[in-house]
Amino acid sequence: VKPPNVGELCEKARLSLTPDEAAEIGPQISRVVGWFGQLQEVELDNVDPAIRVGHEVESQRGLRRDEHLDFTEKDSMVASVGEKEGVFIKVPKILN
Amino acid sequence: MAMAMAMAVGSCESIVLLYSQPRIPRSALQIRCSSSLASKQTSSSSKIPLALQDFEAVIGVETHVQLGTATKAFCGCLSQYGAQPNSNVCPVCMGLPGALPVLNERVVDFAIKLGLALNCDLSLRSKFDRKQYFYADLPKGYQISQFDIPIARHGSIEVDLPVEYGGGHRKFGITRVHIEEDAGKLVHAGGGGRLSGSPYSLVDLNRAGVPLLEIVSEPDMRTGIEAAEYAAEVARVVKCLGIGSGSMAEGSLRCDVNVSVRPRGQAAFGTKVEIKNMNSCAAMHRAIDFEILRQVALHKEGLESKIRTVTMRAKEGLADYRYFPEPDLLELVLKQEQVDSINEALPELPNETRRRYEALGLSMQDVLVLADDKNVSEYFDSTLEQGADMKMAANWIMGDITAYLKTEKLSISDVKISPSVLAELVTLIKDGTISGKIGKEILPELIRNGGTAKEVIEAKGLTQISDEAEIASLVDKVLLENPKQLEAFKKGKTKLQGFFEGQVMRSTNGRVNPILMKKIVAQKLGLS
Repeated sequence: VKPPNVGELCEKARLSLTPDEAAEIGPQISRVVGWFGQLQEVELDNVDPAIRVGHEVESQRGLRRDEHLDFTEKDSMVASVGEKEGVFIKVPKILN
Repeated sequence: MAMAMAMAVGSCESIVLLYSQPRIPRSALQIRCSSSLASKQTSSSSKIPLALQDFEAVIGVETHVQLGTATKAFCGCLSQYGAQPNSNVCPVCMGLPGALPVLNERVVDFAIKLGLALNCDLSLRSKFDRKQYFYADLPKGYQISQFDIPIARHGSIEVDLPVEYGGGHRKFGITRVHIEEDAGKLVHAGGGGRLSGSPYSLVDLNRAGVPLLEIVSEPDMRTGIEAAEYAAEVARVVKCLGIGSGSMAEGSLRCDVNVSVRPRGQAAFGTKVEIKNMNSCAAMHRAIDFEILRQVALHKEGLESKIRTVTMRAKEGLADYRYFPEPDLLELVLKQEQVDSINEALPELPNETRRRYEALGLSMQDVLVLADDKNVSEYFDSTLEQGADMKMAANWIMGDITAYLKTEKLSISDVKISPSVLAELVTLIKDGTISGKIGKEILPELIRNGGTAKEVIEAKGLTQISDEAEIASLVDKVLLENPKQLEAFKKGKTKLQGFFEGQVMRSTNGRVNPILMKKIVAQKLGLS
């Protein structure tokens, strides 16, 4: 497993790390990835691939009816938005 | 100028062209054919512009279908066009911490319907994934979508190309159909509403979380008309199934097109250019044909490597969406019984209607018109069921009724003339009780107010005069009242026969049976 490119990862996740923080976190990420890598050693020849965890729960299909339900605190939720212009949410200049 | 943005689709690079009118130096566009780009081709092969004959265009279409469910995909907010901004929102679709999505079961039903209608293999087990990127209209910082295991795959759709473009039947492949959610809407402040140069933007999250089905076609289309007709057919299927309003103009059906060209015989694809923001099939048709010519021109100048950089300022780069399975959603499991019952209940699809009308003996031109809108084809079918003559019923619907609908800006569901009354009208004309002209006269009243044809005819005293004795006396009267013309006729001006026929017709306000009347006029003039 390649060592992580911390700079690239920060860019994608829009996080800023100081050089010290980045130096510290690189090895930590590698260890986590390596830990998952141990799973590659498991024998899986007789096991059907699972798409997702949770398919065994037959009674709950995880679906809801197509019925209108408003959030009870909608007004205060919208009111707590940082910056608005009228009914719109105002966001800073979008870089191209 | 053409505008472009870098976009990545999965892990492929492509260039995005926002549809506008690009300016190309004349030298680059040496089109040596006499027919203009927009001219209609009478045969699909014989009038390919010279510029194109060595090249082949490869076109693929990605369509996003907004579903007409009452609520959003993952929360109970209303999915409603035109609501006041940020009024249909909740923690789930606003992406607030701690909120969890729950899938709307109706979205699954609609997805199954569309998958079956497009002849797809349904994945009885599929999953959702997070497609991660940052943008102001994407509250969670990711879109819930389906990446590697979509709900439907490997389908097809059949179209009939318009007669004026050479006609022809085509079958295009469908790579996949998957479920995902829509993003919010952005408005850019500052003059022009354009993104570049605007100091800030405004977000409306009403649309965030609205359910979408994304349809990806195989790159099977070769011309603008094929791609436009593909899109039109997808829209027809969506409307026929009742899963959405399927309107490009309203934004409930959005098509992005990928166009590339390659020398004929070459297996490898050329550089792909993506065209977005087209709001009609006609716009798609034009934009694609133009783009094909533009790319061919660049190839011929030896500038194919410049397809990206000469005419557009491209910002290239691979977007890494870092897909991973959505941890907040269970596996999507379909029961075979559910799929089977939906399959059995599928309505007749537009292509099936076209085949049925063809088998009835209607011309392809008529088939395409009558089968375009399900409301119209159902109306036509009902009229036939009531015993109307097929050709006459088709002509009345496509002609007079459609004309009326156009001027009054109505749809066929608004008319008060029921199929049975239209059938009655058609039959009355066919068996000679009234003339076609009278039929046209009373049609508007029947459309506006309903009632039966018989009622309106009697109320207006418009029954056809078919009694030969009565017609004979009418003809006598006309001949008596027009001695000069009769004299002229006897002297050899045989064209005046038409004059006498017209006078008899006028004297009865169009009520006289035209065939009998002409026969009797001819008799009285000594011609038979």
